[in-house]
Amino acid sequence: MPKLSLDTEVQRRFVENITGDTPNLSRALKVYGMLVGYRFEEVIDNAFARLKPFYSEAAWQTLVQHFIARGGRAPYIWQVPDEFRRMVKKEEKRPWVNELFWYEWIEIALHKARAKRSKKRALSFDKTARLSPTVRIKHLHYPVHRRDDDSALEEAKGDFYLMLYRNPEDDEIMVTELTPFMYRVLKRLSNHPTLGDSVDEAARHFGEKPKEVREVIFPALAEMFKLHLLI
Amino acid sequence: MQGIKGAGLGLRSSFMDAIDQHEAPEWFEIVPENWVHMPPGMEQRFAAVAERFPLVCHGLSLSIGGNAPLNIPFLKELKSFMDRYGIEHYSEHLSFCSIDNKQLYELLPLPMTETMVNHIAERVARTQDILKRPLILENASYYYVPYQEMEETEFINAVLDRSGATLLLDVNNVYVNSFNHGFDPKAFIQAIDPKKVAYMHVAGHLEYAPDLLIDTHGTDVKDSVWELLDWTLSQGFNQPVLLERDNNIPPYATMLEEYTKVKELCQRHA
Repeated sequence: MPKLSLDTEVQRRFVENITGDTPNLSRALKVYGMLVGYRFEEVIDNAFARLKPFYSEAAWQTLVQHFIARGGRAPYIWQVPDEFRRMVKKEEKRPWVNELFWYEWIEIALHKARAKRSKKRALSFDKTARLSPTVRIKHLHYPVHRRDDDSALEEAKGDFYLMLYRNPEDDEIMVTELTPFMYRVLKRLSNHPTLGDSVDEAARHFGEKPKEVREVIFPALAEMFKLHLLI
Repeated sequence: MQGIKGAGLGLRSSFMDAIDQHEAPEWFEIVPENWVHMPPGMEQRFAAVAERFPLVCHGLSLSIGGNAPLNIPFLKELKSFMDRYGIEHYSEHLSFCSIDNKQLYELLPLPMTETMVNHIAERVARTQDILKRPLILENASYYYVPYQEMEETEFINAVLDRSGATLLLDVNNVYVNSFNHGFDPKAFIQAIDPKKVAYMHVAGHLEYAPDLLIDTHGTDVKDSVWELLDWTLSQGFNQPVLLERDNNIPPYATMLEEYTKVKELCQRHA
């Protein structure tokens, strides 16, 4: 066995000890376990402050410990909540909880997203249009964006077409409800060579006249372009 | 270190709005992982700070002693960030924070072996090739030694000799380790060649138990560490000194009071 493998084996065992449930650890190893635990708990708890009350303290601790034992993957600790969310999603059966997980994570992701500016001078139905990396749209089934009463989420099932974005004026994360029509247009932008094609397809889908729809929808799209949400 | 002189302060995002209203430090150190993905509003303010002050990047996620291949996209992103803001100096920790691509975001103790020295030397060369900058490595605090073929100073000196990296001498880490593991901190520092030291750190630690200190960077610097820094500066270590604070961060104006103490010490020994 090459000697580095011995070092690696020592490191691997050390990490298993401090991240697992090994009994009778020395105080020094417990200190490392505590330091690693704090690091993960702080970032996960801060990310999912609204979601945490949906779990008992013991259940939440079990999830966090399970995640620590598996470790993060990204070099940036701010990406840990997404990895945690993806791990929990595999087992979590409550759809409103998974939607709230998504919502709380996307607020962080948008805060960190690198903005792109369009090279176009003006929005045109004849040109391509894409959503900026600082925008996410999603069709949710629970009103996780309303923040009024999280305990009533389960009972408030419906269709909610959301657009979350980072406001270029102040970097605040904003949320707005879209019409199903606008959601379809934006969702399918990348499927069509031009913005006009995407609008026309949505018009046909909803049984509307494309020419009339273009006139009605243009001001809203132009406003999004002005805010650099459409690029 | 070109452009870096005297006393510096760790830059926190909470300081950004107050920097122009107070006397400024001579230079700032930043944790790049906290700044690479900053939003545009912060970017403008950060660019103004980078324009006005010399900056040093002090990374956390390199895992120089880890077993997995270096994360090349991460290093390239780091290089691009440092290029964009004209940052020439990059330091990291003589430790590992990931194993088998499992990230723990904590500085973990290395086996102090000959093989590890060679392993680190290879990774330092590769890192420098990508970043196009020399690497500075910090002596880490540790509470446990997983395996040891040599003393810590031997290990550090061997890494510096073989890799060509310079040292970020963390005086608080020396103190914390000397207390926890029962060695003489001055003898430790005397075993380091001052010519191989790029700059130094000073920070606060937590008295966790009567026989255990933890390097938290969450309190003011303790008197014992000030004394050790004073002594170190008197021993021919006339490199720049950085005051670190990562937890329980006070307002900028309060932080500057402690910074002034570092500055006075640096000036007294200049």
